Amino acid sequence: MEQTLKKRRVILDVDTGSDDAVAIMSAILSGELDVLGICCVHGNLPIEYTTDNTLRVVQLLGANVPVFRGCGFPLVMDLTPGRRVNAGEVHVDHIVDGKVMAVHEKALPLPAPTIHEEKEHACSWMFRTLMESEEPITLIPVGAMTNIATVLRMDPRVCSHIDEIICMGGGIDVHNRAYRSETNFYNDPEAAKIMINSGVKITVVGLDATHSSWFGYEEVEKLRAIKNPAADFAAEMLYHRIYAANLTGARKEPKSALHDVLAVCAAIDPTVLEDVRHQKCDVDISGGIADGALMVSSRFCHSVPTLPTYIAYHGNGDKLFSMLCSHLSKYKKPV
Amino acid sequence: MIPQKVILDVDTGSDDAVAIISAVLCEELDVIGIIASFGNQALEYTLPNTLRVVEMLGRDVPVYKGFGVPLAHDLLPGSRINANPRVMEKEIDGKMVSIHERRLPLPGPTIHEQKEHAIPWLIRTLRETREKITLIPVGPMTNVAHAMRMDPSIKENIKEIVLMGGGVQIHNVTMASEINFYNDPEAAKIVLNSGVPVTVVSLDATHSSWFGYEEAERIRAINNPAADFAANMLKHRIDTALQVGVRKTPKSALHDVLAVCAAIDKSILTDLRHEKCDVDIGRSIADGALIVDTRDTETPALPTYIAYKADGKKLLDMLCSHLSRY
Repeated sequence: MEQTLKKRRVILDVDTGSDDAVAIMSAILSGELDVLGICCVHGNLPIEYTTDNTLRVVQLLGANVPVFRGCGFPLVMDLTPGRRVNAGEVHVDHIVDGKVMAVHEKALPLPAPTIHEEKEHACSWMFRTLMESEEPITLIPVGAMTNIATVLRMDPRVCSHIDEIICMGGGIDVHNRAYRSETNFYNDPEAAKIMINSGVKITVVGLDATHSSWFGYEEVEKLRAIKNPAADFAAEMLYHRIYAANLTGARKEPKSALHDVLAVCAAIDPTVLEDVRHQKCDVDISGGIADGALMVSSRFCHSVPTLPTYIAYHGNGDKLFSMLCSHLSKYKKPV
Repeated sequence: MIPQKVILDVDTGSDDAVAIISAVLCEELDVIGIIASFGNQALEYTLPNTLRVVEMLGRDVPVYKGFGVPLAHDLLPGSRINANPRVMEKEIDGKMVSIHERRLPLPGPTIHEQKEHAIPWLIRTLRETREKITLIPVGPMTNVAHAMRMDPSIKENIKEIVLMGGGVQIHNVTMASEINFYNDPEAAKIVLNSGVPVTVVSLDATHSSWFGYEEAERIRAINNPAADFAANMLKHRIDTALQVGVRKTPKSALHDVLAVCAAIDKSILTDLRHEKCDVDIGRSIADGALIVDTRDTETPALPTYIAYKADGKKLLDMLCSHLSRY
């Protein structure tokens, strides 16, 4: 059949990051997305590391995709450090044999990059690219929403150039970083709030969806069996995530969600998300125990959504895994 | 003399307009660009007003459109309920009287802002410059704060920041706050804590060098369109402050002009103190307030200098000298 469908044009915004790394590979190798560029942001790690790690992944793929360094700080959250005292924040770093064991290692186990980030600031580039684009572009932010919020606020006219924002962030019944909060939203609550309230169509791939489609050691072996450097690396990331989460006590089950991959795959095939609800929602920025929490209004009479915010509650794990395997198997050794 | 490269950040604005004229006409400063911000009025008014002033001067100074919203304080509008801000306009005989008119009484504009957004331009300019640049923000500190946070490396190429904002003993918009800081408290806090040398031209300094009708007439006597316009702005400010009821004395400070003149000659600030200070972002009655730490145990760790007093005579002389160069 003749391929007449145009590839969906996307911008990734990442804080690479173990699952971010796999998401980048999935997006680029899938062949179904036109990845215009990858913006880096603070989050899982400081901006120096997330940029360096992103370059490592792009280099592994030999892909000609520009990488931009973005914001290294949240919009304002860190101005009052004491606001976090009440949030019940967890620190998941754990020292084993003198080595810090973290879900997101500072330097991904890939060769140091010899390719370079672009000179332009991520927000400058993203804003310019959106404003100059005649057809709308999809944004896939899977780190803190700082770059996205900055661009949205620079000039509201930019909103009409965005097709959809498919973000990984938030959680309704599942949380990780604090009592009620998921890391990406928690890392910059104000930015998440700005994004959710922007009026752009948002699909929130939250922890409820990603945890419903998590993987274990069996899937690690299946990834490894694909037998190429990208699949090996993805297997290593998944293994590391399961191992580190168990070791640090963050999780008891030998399972781990590849959160960011689900957001990328949802951009390719929305049916990988199941139970997507159009709901009225917002993000708490109060500095209390719900700081950074995604809140869904569940009041009977006052919950009619006025904005196009769609929350995913479930992910199809089988479909996600087969998509990921299919993407990884397309890896070709860079020439 | 090599003029100092400066970038103005304005929310034009009646006193901003005179500050732009002063900066562009003087020989000591090289205004490489003007950024328009929200503030005294919405960005949709401050931007064309800025263009009108530049057009009147007939100079080729690029104007950039900056942020129309603060960093984050507007996200919880209800939090301002405690601060009880004063409105600087009032309806009198069916007409809205405002200290900062939405549309300055100037023709046009027929010139346009640059296509590039202010923030990419500011970051790029500061990254690529060979000589350090002075920033003169006289509206909310939003653009400067955003840029510094987006790329902290640009701080190295900022010579200094001479800002108009804050007040130690004198306040205007709330019982504790001056309007520029109040319009974006987080941004003001970021700028003061940036580590870049900051001179705070506060309300204490600007009110110590305010002008009355007599000075307006002296400015008008220069007898050129720029001076006429500046005289009209000053008279408008005195008149409307009385009408709206925000002041009893027939005087008005040209706040932003003092910041521009201080960037030229610091000696115009006659009581400049190196003090430890910060901005409250607590959303209560002191939201946006400039707070100076006067405890004996505290010494300033950052290069923050607060101006308490200014030489009004010198300010008027400088302004008149600039205006006469039109």
